[in-house]
Amino acid sequence: MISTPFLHVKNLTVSYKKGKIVFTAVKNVSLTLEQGKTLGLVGESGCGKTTLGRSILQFHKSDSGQVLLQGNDLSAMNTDSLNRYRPLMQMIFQNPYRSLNPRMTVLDILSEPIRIKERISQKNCIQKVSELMLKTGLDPFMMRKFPHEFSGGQRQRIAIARALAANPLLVIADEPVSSLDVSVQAQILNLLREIHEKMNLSMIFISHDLSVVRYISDDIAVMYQGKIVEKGPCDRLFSNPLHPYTKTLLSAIPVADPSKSFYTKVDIDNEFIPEETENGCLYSNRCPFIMDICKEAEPALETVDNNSNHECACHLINSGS
Amino acid sequence: MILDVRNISTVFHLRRADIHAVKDVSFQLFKGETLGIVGESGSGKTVLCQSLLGLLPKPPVKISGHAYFDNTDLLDCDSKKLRQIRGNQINMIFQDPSSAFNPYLKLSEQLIEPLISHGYKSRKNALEKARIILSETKIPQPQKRLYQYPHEFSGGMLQRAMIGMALITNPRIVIADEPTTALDVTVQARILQLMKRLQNQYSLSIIFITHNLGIVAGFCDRVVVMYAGVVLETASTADLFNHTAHPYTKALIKSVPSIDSSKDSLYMIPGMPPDPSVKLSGCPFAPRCGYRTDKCLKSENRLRETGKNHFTSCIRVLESELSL
Amino acid sequence: MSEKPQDIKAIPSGNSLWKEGMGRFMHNKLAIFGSVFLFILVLLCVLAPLIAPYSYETQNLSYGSEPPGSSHIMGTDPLGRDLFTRILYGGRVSFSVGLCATAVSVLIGVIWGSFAGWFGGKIDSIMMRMVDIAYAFPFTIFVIILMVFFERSMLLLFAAIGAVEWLTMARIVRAQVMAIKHHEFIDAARGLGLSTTRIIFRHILPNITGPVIIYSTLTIPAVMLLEAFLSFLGLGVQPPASSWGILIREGAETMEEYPWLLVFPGLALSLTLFSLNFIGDALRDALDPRSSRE
Repeated sequence: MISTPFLHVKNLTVSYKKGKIVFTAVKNVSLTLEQGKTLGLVGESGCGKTTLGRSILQFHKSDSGQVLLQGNDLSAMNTDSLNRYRPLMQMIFQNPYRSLNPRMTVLDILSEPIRIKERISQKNCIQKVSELMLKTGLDPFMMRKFPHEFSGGQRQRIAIARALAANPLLVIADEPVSSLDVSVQAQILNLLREIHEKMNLSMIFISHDLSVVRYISDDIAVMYQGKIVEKGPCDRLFSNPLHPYTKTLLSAIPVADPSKSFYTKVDIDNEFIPEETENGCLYSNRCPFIMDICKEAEPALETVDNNSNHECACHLINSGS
Repeated sequence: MILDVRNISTVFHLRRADIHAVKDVSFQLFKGETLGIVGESGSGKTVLCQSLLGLLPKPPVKISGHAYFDNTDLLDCDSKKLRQIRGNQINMIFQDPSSAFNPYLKLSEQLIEPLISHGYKSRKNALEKARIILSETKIPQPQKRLYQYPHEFSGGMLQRAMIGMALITNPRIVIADEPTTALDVTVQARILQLMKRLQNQYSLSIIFITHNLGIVAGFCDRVVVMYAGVVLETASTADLFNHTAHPYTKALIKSVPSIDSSKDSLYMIPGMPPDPSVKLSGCPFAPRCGYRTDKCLKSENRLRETGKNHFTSCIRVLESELSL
Repeated sequence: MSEKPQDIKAIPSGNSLWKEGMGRFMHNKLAIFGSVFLFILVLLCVLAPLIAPYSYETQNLSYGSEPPGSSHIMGTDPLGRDLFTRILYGGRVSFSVGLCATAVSVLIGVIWGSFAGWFGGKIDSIMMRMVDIAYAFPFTIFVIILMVFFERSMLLLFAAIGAVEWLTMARIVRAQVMAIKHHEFIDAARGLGLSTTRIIFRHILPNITGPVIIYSTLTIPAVMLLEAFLSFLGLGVQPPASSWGILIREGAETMEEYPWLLVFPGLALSLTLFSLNFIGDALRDALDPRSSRE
């Protein structure tokens, strides 16, 4: 029996209009997420990962495709029905300086999600807010302070607490640690992992930093120019990356080891090649392994071995070499 | 030695408090080397370099100490001399390339500006120099790009243009303040490669400010580690990683998530950096340090030699009580 | 750290951006001077019926055109009316026009600007083009037409002035709303399923009150000056009621022979305008969101 996946994104395409130009940020993307698991969504700027995350939460209308949460099609719902689903799926944003209303105290910010469904007395609110703050490593006696009185890391904790306050089933974290210092990053990542494990949340973790994603994800999807080029269990992807782009990403990561100079392997002269290829693989212009078929036909996302969940969209890999 | 910085202290005299952003910092920069200055936000690394170049407003800021460049003390010379050096012989590259350029001027105007303001007479020659420098930063179609506006460039390309603008006057020193922090990993790798190539071509000395130890490991020859306005350790890159002599450095190395290490442990430094308006005694990292003892909070915090050209301020390491 | 506070009083309150802004404001000497001066002046005008030494209508020709002296501290006009009294009563008119017309313009401007800013797109284009067209309309002719076709009344005066001043407020509000709209906390509010009304009132409007207050403070003097101008032309408040504008007009007519008739009302108006401008400037510095993010 095939069970309904917790989250099922089917052939999602999302585009923007920039003046007269139409830019397709997400091209026919499909993915599934099991309950209680974390999917890491990785890619560089412009790959569409943020747009994908926002479209899943219906912040942005998609051109075509479906987003099914526990079998319910979010993309087909009217505003009222959708608003009833919204508390179940929350987002943690990248910029801790813009994701909190500067005029609201922490108490205001955290009680707003709590009060959506029920009328709660102020005393009970304070109790619930205290619990949330303790859960995210904050001092409850600071709840009447304003966002600007906290550091970046603390603000991000408040943002996490706000996401949790609505009792969500799905949390999408959009680059939650990118604006933070390395040592604070570690604190927030540990917190997210702890919450994910304790509350059995389903999470999508969006980041451009593979080393951060590795720590927190069960599965990883690598995006390039609006498409998923490789997908699979975290450990497999790191131990055996297949798509040329994934390999490039991995080799470009700074490593705290003076004997490894990570940046010398990247091709400096070919950064600005135009991306557009009419029908073929979007990565073909940069790929060192290019074959004739790469320029003609787009590779499909296919499983690599029949047993694993490892998928790759590359003619070279899929042909079995 | 091309730059000798001695005992710089920078204080911001604000209405609500005095902020000691940099406290008694000294370091040297040698010809042709890449010196990394590593620290988190609030460590004082950016303020340090702004102080060197006189980029801070004199009240409310007070700077003491010396910075010797070419027989001139940058902190004690008249503003005319400083302007002759700054933008000409010592240049700076910033984190956000889009805020370094004037959106209303074409790139050509902005690239030749450092040349013209430092005495270059021929506009035509200056424009040619600008075109050459753009092509050396590997921007395609430099002749066309030269006459475009900043908004027509992508982030990575604009960063290259900024590097070009910093190199056009053939400076001796380039100070790069987190130039790749806002960039994607592959773009970052290319920019670093470009900088290394240009460094060799132009015999540059680079001061590279970052919070990412991974970049430092591959890119810098020597490293200065700063925390709360103070230097905690100075060493060659190899020594810093292989013979770490300060608990903070060790902690920083451990908190960098790596794709090789085990998935279970992500080390985090407990606590928070100290308030810069409060004067501290002893080692500023002691409150958060797992190895602290009573004497760490009491004794004077000074850099002393612990190995060949390897300096640390950790009193326990210096007295051989601790090996990391 | 597992202790939980039991009631709200046990938790120390924080420093809102307002508090910090007011702290900065209090350090601005000109603004303090302006505030104190204004407060005293407004108080005097409000208490005019109680403290004025004379009635504003009493004409006593035997005291006509007296320079400032012991019985009339600011002198009298040719009809023997006490100038000090007239200035106090005139202030009531000028201030009430200033406040009411500003209130009207703020109300219309905020509603118009928020609507245009929030919805954006075509709605925004249409609404703001209408504002642009209204800007080009000659104000004086508009008021004259209004005054000719309708009875001259204070209410009409408020409406006419308010109808002109809301334009800039609308532009300012629209710009602020458009800027705030893209901040992630607005997305977070949408993510909770909050209604548009709630988002606008709870999240957007509180964050634009800074510029609205600043601009209102700077609109009041503009309105008062406008009223003075209209009254100077004979289009505003009608005698025997007086406003500072009327007093200035009358004073200007006889300024060579009886200079005090121009000097005192002129001083009253100018010092008020200065004070409001000092306060507005100080508010702008104090409430600037950039300086609050130290």
